[in-house]
Amino acid sequence: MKAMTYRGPFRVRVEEKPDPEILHPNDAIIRVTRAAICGSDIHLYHGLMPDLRIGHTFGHEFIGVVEELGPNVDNLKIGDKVLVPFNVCCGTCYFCSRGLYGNCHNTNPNATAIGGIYGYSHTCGGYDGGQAEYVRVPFANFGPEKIPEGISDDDALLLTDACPTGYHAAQMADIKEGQTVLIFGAGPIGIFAARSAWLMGAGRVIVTDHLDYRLDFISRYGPAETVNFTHLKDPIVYFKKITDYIGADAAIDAVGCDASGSMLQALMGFHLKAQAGNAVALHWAINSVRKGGTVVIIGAYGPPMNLAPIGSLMNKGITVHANQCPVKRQLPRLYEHVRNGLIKPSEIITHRFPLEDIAEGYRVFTSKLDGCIKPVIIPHRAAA
Amino acid sequence: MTANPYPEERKWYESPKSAKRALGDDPAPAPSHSNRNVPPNYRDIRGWGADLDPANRPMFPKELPSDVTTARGEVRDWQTPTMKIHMSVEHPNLTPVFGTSCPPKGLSGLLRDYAYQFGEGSNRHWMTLVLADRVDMIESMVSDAFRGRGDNYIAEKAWSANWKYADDAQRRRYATIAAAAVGGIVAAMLLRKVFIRR
Repeated sequence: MKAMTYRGPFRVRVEEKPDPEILHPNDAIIRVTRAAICGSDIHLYHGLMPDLRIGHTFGHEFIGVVEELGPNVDNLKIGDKVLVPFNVCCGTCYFCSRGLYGNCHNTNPNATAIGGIYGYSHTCGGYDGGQAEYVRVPFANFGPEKIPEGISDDDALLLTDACPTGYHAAQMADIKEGQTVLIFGAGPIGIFAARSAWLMGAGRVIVTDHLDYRLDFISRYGPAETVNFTHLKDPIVYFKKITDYIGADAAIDAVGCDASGSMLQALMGFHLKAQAGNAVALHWAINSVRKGGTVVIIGAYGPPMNLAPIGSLMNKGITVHANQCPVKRQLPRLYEHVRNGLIKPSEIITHRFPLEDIAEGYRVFTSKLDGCIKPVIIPHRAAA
Repeated sequence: MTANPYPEERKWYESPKSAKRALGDDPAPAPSHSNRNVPPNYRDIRGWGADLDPANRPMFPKELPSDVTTARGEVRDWQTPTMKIHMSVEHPNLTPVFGTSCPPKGLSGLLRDYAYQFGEGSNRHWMTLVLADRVDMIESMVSDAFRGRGDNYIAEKAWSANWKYADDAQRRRYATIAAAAVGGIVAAMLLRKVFIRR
């Protein structure tokens, strides 16, 4: 089969790889019909995740058609169109049984800090991802879901990660009626977090980024107040000012380790790899939230450590909520919101690339070319 | 009547540096600050408050009740390893399923063997893995070259997309840089000839 493979920082190509096989009775093989490049794939593309081996196939946002099933999978049939949540999860371990599907203990031998994730390095279990023609899906008796009536393929694709993760971020912000939510990052997660914050009853949603075209989009899609932080001498002072010098009730870091805005953080995290990426968004989130407020970390960071103002966290009495999104728990409610038109995930798709041109897709997404917000990959056999 | 605190948004580069705000007591929003699409009453936003009641939020409560008391729960079937699988020392045994994307190999594999001797709280674990990734890159480059499938940096980095998807202003910038680079090279060659003749 054809699959995207990682060749080193900023380099990917499409190669022939052996077709995946059933390796466990609960496995399924899915023929991928659509995959997306996620903002967190960019962290991989930049080589920021440890144990990212040459030849690994990325892609944790994908939908497809069931091609082959292990003997224990009785909830799916060959030919079913399924969406596959990005968490590889068993549904029965200590954590899954409590609904924490992003923290499954049975799918990632390489680390206990994180559950298995498709196409997200050997630190996340070493599973090849969905930016390929076929993909192996473990625990197919639990993870994948048939795409329900009334949900388009494009919507289903974004319900595998981006939309539930943004919605999850807004939930973790623990929003009360009329509260102010400050979101760092106007990428897909920030966009869905802004939209979801209104559903949770926010009174004010402010989004900051350095890209005007994304701020423009989110100002309409959210809607949201937007501000370009490159325009501000000191973003933290500014956010205090526009919140009556109190600070936002909740701040969401929807950026992660590839942030912009601080030369020191960029040098330490990005160029010298002396910390797990650039933590400027987290730094700003902690400093601009009000005392007693909530900071949500939904952006992805590498595992080692980061420079962040822990002292302020303590002194301000801030509550931190963070976790990988347990997609399966969000899906029933999100299906309702999509059917009722309260969230329209597919509207953020701006580009489509054939699998063969995936290197171009990564370049356009990572360099923010051509107003790119969400690129979708269509494999050669999608229509087979 | 107070002035509109949110003037029409301008591109950040259109604003003079003096417009940067942070210090002082001027409460006016930054020129790039816009709320033009937000209704005056937030309750008018489509879907507002649909999940205001925590009972409507799927993650309420965060943890669901469960009787499972062991880390793995009940596991009936185990995937059989057919290649070397690295395992965190914080796991009691191999997980029931695991990925088989890229088996460890060469010097990078030895570095990974070393890294996985340490726990996840250890910098030696993570930083050795980062080092192994870079070594893996060089090893793969060399082995692919020997197999006649050398890396095509231009295609893999897709530099051409920078031109293909650039807007006119970006293209002008690239063209100017390219012209300056070519001009510099030509000038250097001419100067070299002049000096050699002397």
